[in-house]
Amino acid sequence: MSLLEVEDLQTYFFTSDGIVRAVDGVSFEVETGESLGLVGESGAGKSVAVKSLMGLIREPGRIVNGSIKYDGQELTDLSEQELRRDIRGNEISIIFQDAMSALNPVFTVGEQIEEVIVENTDRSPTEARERAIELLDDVGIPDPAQRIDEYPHQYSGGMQQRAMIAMALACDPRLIIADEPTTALDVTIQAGILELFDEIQEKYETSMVYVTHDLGVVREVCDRVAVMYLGRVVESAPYEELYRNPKHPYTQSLINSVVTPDETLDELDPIGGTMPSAVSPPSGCRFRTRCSVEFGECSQLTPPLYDVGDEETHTTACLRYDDGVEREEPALHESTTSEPAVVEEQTDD
Amino acid sequence: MSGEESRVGDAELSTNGRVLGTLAKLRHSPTSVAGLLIVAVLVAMAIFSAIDSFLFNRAIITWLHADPHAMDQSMRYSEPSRAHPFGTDRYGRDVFARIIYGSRTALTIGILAVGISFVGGVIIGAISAYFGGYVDDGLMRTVEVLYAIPGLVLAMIFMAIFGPSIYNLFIAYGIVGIPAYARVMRSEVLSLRDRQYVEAAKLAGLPRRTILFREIVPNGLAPVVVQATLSMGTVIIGAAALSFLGFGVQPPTPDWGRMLADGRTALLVAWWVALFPGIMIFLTVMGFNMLGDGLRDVMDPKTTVEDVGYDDFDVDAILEDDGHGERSPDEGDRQQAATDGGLEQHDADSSTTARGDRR
Amino acid sequence: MGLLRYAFRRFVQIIPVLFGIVTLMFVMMHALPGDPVRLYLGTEPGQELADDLIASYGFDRPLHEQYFDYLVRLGQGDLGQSFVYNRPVSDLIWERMEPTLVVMGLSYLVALPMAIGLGIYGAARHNEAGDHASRFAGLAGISTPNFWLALMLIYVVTYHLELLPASGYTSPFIDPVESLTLLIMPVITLATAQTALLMRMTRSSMIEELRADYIETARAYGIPERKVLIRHSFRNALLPLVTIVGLQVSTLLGGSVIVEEIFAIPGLGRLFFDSLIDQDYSVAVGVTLFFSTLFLIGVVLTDIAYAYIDPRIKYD
Repeated sequence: MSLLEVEDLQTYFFTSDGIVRAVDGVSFEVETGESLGLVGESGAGKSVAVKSLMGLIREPGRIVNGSIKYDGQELTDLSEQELRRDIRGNEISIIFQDAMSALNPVFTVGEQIEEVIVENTDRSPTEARERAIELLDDVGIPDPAQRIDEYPHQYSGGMQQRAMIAMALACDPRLIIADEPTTALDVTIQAGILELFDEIQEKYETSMVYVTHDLGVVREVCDRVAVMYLGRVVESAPYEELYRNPKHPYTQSLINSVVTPDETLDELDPIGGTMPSAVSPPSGCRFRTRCSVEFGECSQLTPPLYDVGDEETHTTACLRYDDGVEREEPALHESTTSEPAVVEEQTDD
Repeated sequence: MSGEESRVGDAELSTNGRVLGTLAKLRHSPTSVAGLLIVAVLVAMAIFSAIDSFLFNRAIITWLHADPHAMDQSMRYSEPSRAHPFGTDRYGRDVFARIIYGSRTALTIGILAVGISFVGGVIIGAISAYFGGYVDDGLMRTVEVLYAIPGLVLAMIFMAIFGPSIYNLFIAYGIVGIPAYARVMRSEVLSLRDRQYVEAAKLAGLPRRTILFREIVPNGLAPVVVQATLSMGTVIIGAAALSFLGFGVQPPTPDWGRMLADGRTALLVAWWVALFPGIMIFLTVMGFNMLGDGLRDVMDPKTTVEDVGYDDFDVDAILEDDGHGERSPDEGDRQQAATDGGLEQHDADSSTTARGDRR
Repeated sequence: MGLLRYAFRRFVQIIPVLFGIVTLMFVMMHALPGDPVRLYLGTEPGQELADDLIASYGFDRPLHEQYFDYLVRLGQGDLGQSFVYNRPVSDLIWERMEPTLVVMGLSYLVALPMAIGLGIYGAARHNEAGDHASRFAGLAGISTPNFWLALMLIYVVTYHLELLPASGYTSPFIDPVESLTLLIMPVITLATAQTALLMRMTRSSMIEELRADYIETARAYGIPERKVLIRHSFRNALLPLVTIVGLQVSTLLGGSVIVEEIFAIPGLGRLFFDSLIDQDYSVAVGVTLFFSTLFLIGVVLTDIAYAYIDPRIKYD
């Protein structure tokens, strides 16, 4: 059984400028011990999706629909109290992008890790301190017994992120969410952190959801990838499969826009246009405004995730795979073998 | 604030655009609409009094209601009535008419004093920040000296030395206000002077004065304008306090502070003489403060989705319409990371810990 | 220790500012038409008397000499002589200090806890009815002229309800009960705007703090909301508040002039007011210098508190 099953998650923000459909029907699963990469441009809704998992969405945002099953338990049914007590920190923990601002500047690194331990476990403050030193050692902070009493601003950027990771590990969670944990770091430091992720996953046997916009990073740490575009998952597959055999036009162009050493700039194929607004997303397939293979139906039908894999799970939300095989023209939906595409309701704003 | 990366020629244009956009957005805040309304009524009253007093020698108000200067010993301290809704004072003058005329005094002092502080503060702050070094040190020390003397105390000394009059009153409060504006402007210019469009202007060989006052200052004015709106209230209260203490406006000019001083001596027999001018001061100051609060909210770059730029829908970024409080200038920029076709780029340096500019 | 050295350095930095104030005062006083003696003696002084006085105060000497002398005397702690009381200004200030400090201290004592409580409440209930109400009350508070508030208090409490006396001062160290009855209205007058301002400050900086990333971290790690509010947010929100508390010393000192005038409290504010009315300028300058010094010390103390609270401030 999967550790985490997200189905048709919708998280909207109700602002004076209209409803922002930041996450609009996202589904994915994370197996025990697995590491899932959630990839997409900024504005795709990755961060909102993972924050929704932990119930961290605040006014004017709200989870309006969908199910989040963690270890068989429906998280959307839990109260704030229950989430806090049973889930946050001890079952699921999260690592934020900018460790510098994610750590409280007026408390020492130790105080912050210890507080998390004391709040979530029945360890005494003394035990919590020992544990915190141990954790800092684990994440590669030199001299942890001394540096535990330093303030975040006394740490370098990479060390701040390591301290954040130590905090995430503090209560032995089974799922760690990493929200762009290396984006703010220099490339060299980034490599060290990615290595650390590999190590801790091995040592602590946690599952992981790794949010990033960088496919290169995904290769380092993730088993499987879900590609998001404008609030939806458009393709999901094991990393190698996705990289070798991308099906969705968006994934294809994402892979084409990654610079690799053996490519010249001419071969790069950046994605044209900009992502439309999530206040008034395009009807039907949301990528169609930037898609090179758009058909007439794309504006009317919202593509569900079609199975396109051979032996492993590979799904994509593109009408060209309506019956599981790629073709030039999409079939009309009455002849579909998998679930029929849904006719999009007219969005009014 | 003012996070746009305008090019050399765009600087002024974008400032105008922002001011218009700001006014349009004020509609959404009931507080600031109410504030604007109060201020508008007040301005109308003041303009009316000015016209009436200069052109018609108080004929209109006399015809409409009563002459604010006409004394009538038989009507001394008469209670509020139909003929005198706010009662009459020691000389039988109509309090209501005097309150209307008092709006002119209050607004004149407020606007002129704020104007002096604004211009003085902007120039000192901008020069100080832009040239730095000894210029900065010298100017800021001077400003600090002014700042270290309690405003009311400094204004009282000034009035005592130069004599109580309406002119000295707004000059005094104008000078008292300079430090606050200079500080705001200085920190704005400090944060703007390394922007790309400033660099571009330097490379284009524009003279320093032009760069400073045509490229930088207009872009940093927004918080100074907010400061001006909010300090209108302070100045009006302060000027009224001076008149109340006898150091400000002299009789027979109708002035709310002066009226309160009269009301104080007659508190036991005629409460109305003290009540109504005070309410007027309160309403006026409240109006400006509500407007200023609203302006500050609207100029906040994080208040609407449009301004946020959809930066991955960071939960914090879309928070509330009725946002509040001052934010560091850095924060606006962080939200600017655009979805520019490629994948996102983040400035690592946008997360500085600088909390204001403290020495 | 670093903090001590920082404190020392900050205190030393007061000196040039005070020097600036002294110079400004000197210039302003000598911008007076005529000289202080003639002002003091009125329109028809006996020439002899005037000359004597002028000579004894050194007003017949060149300005720069007078300025230099003035500085030297100030350096020795001599603030000059009062024309009216015929006593050293420093003695007067010393005698009149207590009421002013008592009223100011009590105002802070009332304003701070109320402001912090209401501010946190407003931030925690952001955009709910309670918050709107407290926000409106805050705006009204800063918009109320304190001299008018004082008059209305006197009218209602003293004249109508006949609850409290409207004027006078008794030291709380001599008769605490009577002192309190005399202090209630002056303190309310001073503390109202104070509370409102500090409340607005607390509220807005708490709201800002509650949006900070580290608050999201705390929530994401299962820290109870109460601790998030009090421990994590408030500690940070305190920083701007501390600064404002220091700067407000200036407003309170200005307010003390008004309050002491209205409630007939024999403090420094009253002394200052009277000295201006009597044109007893050495007293006015002395009180101004004293006020500024108090303010500057207040600012330095808050800076030190700031450095103590915020580990990021480097003070060496």
